Amino acid sequence: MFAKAMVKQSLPLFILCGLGAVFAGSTFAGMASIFQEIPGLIVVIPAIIALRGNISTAFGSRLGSAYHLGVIDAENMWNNELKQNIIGSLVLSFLVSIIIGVLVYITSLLLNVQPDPIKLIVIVLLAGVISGVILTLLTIIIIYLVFRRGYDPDNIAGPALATFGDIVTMFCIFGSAVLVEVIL
Amino acid sequence: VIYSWKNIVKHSLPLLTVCIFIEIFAGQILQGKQEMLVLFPVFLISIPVINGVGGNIGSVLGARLASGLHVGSHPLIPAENLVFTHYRIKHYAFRPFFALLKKVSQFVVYYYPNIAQQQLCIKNKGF
Repeated sequence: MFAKAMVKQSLPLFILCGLGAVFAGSTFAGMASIFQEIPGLIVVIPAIIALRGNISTAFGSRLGSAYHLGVIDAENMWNNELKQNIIGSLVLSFLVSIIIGVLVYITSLLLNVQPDPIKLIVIVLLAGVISGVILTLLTIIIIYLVFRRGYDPDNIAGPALATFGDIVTMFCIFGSAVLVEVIL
Repeated sequence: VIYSWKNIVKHSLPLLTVCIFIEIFAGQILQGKQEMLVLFPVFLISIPVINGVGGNIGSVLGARLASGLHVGSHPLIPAENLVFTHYRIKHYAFRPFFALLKKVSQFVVYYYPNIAQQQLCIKNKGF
């Protein structure tokens, strides 16, 4: 892998990703009124964005390693390796969402903010699991397209997944916050 | 089968928990400055952007290094042997540091031969 090819493959995507991140940020700014209604929700945002980025880029990077090892290919996508990876990332999103909800509640209590624990944990769990499922599907599609085009999956998968992850997660948390606010 | 979901969860969860602690620290800072952030939405917009740039470049580098380690050709040095063994991975992970050390010492010897000679003399006396 030469630096020139690396920059050539990555740079257009990085510019697109910057625009995508601005879009995610606009959604974030549009949620400002909900943050004042549900105390403690704003604490969740960096944690859940990072969670999505971490889990899905790790998933993409693992698939990239599998591609370089010759274990997985465009013709040979649906094998046991991919299934194990999918199960692993879904279980991780479920567990980590619960951990985020509990930790945010505890730290908010320590800092004299009084959030509603059930509301907070339900919002985080819904957003985490729904965005996890969407992003897993998206990862498989992106990785398949990258394999077909013959690019290096390591260059493409990371930034694309991180940015799509941000956008999808912002929408999921917006939707689940509105839903929980209406139901509970 | 290289990957199993139990291993993935077991290896990722402790690190992710540490990451969540740090992120929640960041989130509590946002909570403390909430009035200012709502007053100036530009800062709210720029949060995912700034988060994204570092994460993107870092994750690309990490993914490429991980692939290089898996294949057995560490990308920082020319590949000699594309064999996937644990010995080679450990060996290759430390090799760039030794290579750097060697380059630095060569540089020192080339441009400051006096120091190198003195070092050599001390070494010889010691022996």
